Amino acid sequence: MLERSIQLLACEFHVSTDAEPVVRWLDGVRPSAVQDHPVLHRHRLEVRREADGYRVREDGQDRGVMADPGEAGALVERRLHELAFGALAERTKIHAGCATWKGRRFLVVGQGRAGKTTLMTKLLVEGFSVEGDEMVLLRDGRVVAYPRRFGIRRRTLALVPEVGALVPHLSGPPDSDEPDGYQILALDPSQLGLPWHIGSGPVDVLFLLDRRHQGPTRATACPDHVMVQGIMAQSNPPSTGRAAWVRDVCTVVRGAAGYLLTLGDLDTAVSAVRQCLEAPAVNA
Amino acid sequence: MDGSHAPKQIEGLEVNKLADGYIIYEANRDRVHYLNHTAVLVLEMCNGNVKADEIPRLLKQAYDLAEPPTAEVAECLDKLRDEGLIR
Repeated sequence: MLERSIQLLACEFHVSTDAEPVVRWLDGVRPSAVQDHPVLHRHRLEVRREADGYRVREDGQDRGVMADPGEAGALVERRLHELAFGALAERTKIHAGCATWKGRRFLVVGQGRAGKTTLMTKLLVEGFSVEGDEMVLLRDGRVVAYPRRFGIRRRTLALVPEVGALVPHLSGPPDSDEPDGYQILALDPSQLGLPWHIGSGPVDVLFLLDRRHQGPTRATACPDHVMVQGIMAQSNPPSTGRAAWVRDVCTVVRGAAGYLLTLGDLDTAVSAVRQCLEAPAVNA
Repeated sequence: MDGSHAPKQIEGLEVNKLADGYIIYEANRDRVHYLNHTAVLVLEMCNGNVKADEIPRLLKQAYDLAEPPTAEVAECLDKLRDEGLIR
């Protein structure tokens, strides 16, 4: 039997299988991040080859038979995330990248394809401790990045050539920018020889991705109520209700300096982010 | 709004303070409102005991204003009523 242990914040999963392609699938998506979050739940998943396919069991319960190992791997991956999110359902989920720099934690909030992953990948190679590119969980003013490999597009590799040079096997011709078709590459910072540590804590600076343009990146102060509106548009309420959602978002905005980031070229974006992080702290 | 009416904020409002105003969550209708500082002052006076035409005078006293902000308060009360935050 082949076995893997995977931590996704509060959940630790033990996956065993007799199908090597399933393990290959999991190895391609599991995050190597060292996580401070305590493990509160443990689950066992098993994939067994049978005459008619690949049977998936979760904590002893049958989850069905998949026709091929790719489908079985995808089902296991989906269940890992469902269980991990379910274990922290009382937290607000925000579409945001999360990183620290010189001990100051910041979020980059923006809708899909606004440039979050590209910016976070650039910051990663520039020495920032990037903890996640897409999703953070928030409660009582504290955030933790959801451990997921960075979902970069080939187009990002062209914009951040340092990554392409370090992981040439990910490189290739850029995909077309058609809305329906592009490939997501699951990048683990360890593939770049970089540490990946996911902590948690209050947020010092919030960046709301405003729009993209061709010139240098600009950061301008963002009124609190605009930031609240922007974050709420990019977040999902916790299981505890929508009042808690509003409270969570207001709490994190109140404690942080907020900037609208009009994303232009990436070198000036790095400078703009550093400049904002070096500005005097905002008292909660 | 009738000046002799004492407006009262509806029940179930959760007020979240920000640097530039307040975010109000209205549970009954699942709505989020943004109010600036002035609007919140007026909302706080809507406790069912203060008549609408007394609010400008109270604000004048509280903030040492040259004139009671009668027109501004009337407009604010109209907006709060339109938004369903007072009755």
